[in-house]
Amino acid sequence: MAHYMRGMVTAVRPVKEYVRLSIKAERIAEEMQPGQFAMISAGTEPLLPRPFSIAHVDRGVLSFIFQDVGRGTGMLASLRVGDSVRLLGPLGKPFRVDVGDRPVMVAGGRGIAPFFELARRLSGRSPLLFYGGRTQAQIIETGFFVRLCSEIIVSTEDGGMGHKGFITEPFAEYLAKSTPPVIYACGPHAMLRRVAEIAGSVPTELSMEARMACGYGICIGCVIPTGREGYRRVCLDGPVFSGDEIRWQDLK
Amino acid sequence: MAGLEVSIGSLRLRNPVLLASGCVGYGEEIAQFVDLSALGGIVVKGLYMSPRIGNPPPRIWETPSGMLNSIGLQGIGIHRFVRERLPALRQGGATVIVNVCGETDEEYEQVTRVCDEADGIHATELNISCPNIQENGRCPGMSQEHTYSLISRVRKASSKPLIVKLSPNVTDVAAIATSAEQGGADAVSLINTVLGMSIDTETGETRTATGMGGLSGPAIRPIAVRMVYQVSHAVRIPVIGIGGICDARDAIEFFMAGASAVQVGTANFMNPVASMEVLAGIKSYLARKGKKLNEIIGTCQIGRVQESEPG
Ligand SMILES: Cc1cc2nc3c(=O)[nH]c(=O)nc-3n(C[C@H](O)[C@H](O)[C@H](O)COP(=O)(O)OP(=O)(O)OC[C@H]3O[C@@H](n4cnc5c(N)ncnc54)[C@H](O)[C@@H]3O)c2cc1C
Ligand SMILES: Cc1cc2nc3c(=O)[nH]c(=O)nc-3n(C[C@H](O)[C@H](O)[C@H](O)COP(=O)(O)O)c2cc1C
Ligand code: FES
Repeated sequence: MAHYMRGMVTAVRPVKEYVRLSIKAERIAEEMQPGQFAMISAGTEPLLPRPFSIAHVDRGVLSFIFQDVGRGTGMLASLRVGDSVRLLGPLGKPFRVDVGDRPVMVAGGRGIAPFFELARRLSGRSPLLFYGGRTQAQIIETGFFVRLCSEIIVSTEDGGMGHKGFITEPFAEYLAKSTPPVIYACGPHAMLRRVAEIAGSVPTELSMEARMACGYGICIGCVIPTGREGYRRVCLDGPVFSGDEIRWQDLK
Repeated sequence: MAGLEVSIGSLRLRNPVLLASGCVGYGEEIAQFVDLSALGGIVVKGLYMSPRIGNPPPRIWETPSGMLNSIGLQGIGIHRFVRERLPALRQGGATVIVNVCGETDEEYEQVTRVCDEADGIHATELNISCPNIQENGRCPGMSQEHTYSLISRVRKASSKPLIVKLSPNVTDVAAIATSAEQGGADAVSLINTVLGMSIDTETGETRTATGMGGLSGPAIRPIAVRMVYQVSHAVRIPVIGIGGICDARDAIEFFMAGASAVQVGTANFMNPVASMEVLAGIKSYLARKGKKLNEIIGTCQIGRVQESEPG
C-alpha cells in the first residue's frame, strides 16, 4: 500500500558525485521493502515528481542517493534541512529476498542505491557485491557493506579504484566458477543487459529505469518491452524484472 | 450533497468532478487513494474492441508546466474490461463512463453497443479526438461532416448517455461541437490533448518515439477555458471542461466559462488525491459565496463588455 504524504528533510549532503537526501516519512519507512522506490516532488516546478530508489531506512527516515542530472534532481539537491517535500511510496515490486546462500549484487554507479537495504536483508546469506563506476568519484564508501557482504569487488573504467574496466568483467569471471542462487543488478541498461547475458540460466532480478509521470500505474507512460505480455509498466509491474522477460533488442 | 448534482442526459452525477480518461487507467490503482463513489464519475482509459499494445517507449516527456504523451491507446479491449475490471468498479460504487475508441466508424459503434449492454457502465464518452493513432493525428473530430455522421450512427447503438469528447486540434471547435449536438450527443467534453512535439537538440531525435505527442497539464488550461467558453455559447447540451485542472480554483474557472462538470487528468500524476481536493475546494468555495453550482456556471464577464452571442 502506497502512501501520499509530506515528509521533512532531515539531511542533505554530497557524497562524492552524488547527493544523499534524508526525509522523515514514517509510514513509508515502515512498509518499504528493498528494491522499492518513492516519487518525490519539492514544488510545482518541475511539474512531475521524480522516482528514486529507497536506499536506507532508519527510525522513520528514508534516505536516497541520487545524481544531479537535470531540473528535478537539481531542485532536490538544493533542498535544506527542515524543507517539506511530497512523497508517494513505497512503490513497485521489490526484490525477492527468500534466496539461498551467496547471492550476487551487481551495481553500476548510482545503481548502488537499492542495495543498501537489500544487503541488510540478505546479511545472513553472505551476499557478494560487484560495484562499478566510471571513476572513483562514482564509488561510494563501501564501509556499510563490509560487515554485511562476504566479498566486495570494485571496478572503475579509468582504473582509479579497484579493477580497471567494466564491473561485468570480474562478475563474468566469478560466474564462470560459481553458481549463485540469484543475481541482483541495478545500473545502466547496457550493464543490465550484459549481466543478463552472463547470467545464463541463473535467475536475475534487475532493477530497470524509465521516465515516469505517475509512478503508480495509471499513465502507462513508463513501459519497457517484455516477451510475454508486451509493454509492461516499470513502476508497477517492476522496477524489478527477470532478465529473460525483457526484449533487450527493442529497449532503447 | 445538495446543489452539486449534474445531469448528463438521463444520468445524474453526484457532483461535477470526474476523473479524465487515460489519466486513471481502469481505476484500480487510484482507488487506493480516492473513494471513487464520492466523485462524480470515472472515465476509464480509451477502449477499442480488441486489446492494443500501444506505442513503443519513450512515451512521455515533461515540458514547461505540462507533458507530452504518446501512449498509443494501449488497452485490454472492451470485452476484457467488462469481464475483468468493471466488477471492482461496480463494487466500489463508481459511476463508470467508458472512453470509446475506434479505428473505423463501425468499431466505434461496436464498442458502444457492448457498453450499452453491460450493467455498471453508466455512459460512454466517444473519443473522436485522440491525436496519437491516425496518421498526422487526423481523427473524425477534425471535420464537422465526419463528426455528425459518426455521432448519428453511434447514437442509434445506445440508449445510455453519450458524451462526445472534442479535440482542440481544429480551427473551429464550436462548429464541431454543434455537429456533435446535431448528431445526438447528450454532452460534449473538452479538451483532449493538444498536439505537440519536442526534440532533443543533442541527438536530433524527437522526445517521444512516435514523433508527435499530446500535450496536457496546466500549460493547456487557458486554451481549454477559451474553448469551453466558445462551445458553451454554441450548444445547449452540457459541457464538461478538461485541461490542466489541479485545484478548485482551476475547476471554477471552467464553470464560469460555461462548463457544468469537469474532469481531472494529468493532476492525478502529481497528486493522487487531486480530484478529492478539487471537490472539497468547490464545496467550500460555494459555501463561502453562498451559491449553488448552477449559479456560477457561465457567469464569466468579458471585461465590462457583453459579447454578442452566436446562435
Ligand atoms: C525506479 C527508479 C529508481 C531510480 N532510482 C534512482 C536513484 O536511486 N538515484 C538516482 O540518481 N536516480 C534514480 N533514478 C533515475 C532518476 O529518476 C532520474 O535521474 C531523474 O528522474 C532525472 O530527473 P531530472 O529532472 O533531474 O532530469 P531531466 O532534466 O528530466 O533529464 C535529465 C536526464 O535524465 C534522464 N531521465 C529523466 N527521467 C529519468 C528516469 N526516470 N530514469 C532515468 N533517466 C531519466 C533524461 O532522459 C535526461 O537524459 C531512478 C529511476 C527509476 C525509474
Ligand atoms: C497519459 C495520457 C493518456 C490519455 N489517454 C486518453 C484516452 O485514452 N482517451 C481520451 O479521450 N483522452 C486521453 N487523454 C486526454 C485526457 O483525458 C485529457 O483530455 C487531457 O489530458 C487534458 O486534461 P489534463 O490537462 O487535465 O490532463 C490522455 C491524457 C494523458 C496525459
Ligand atoms: S509512471 Fe505512470 S504508469 Fe508507470
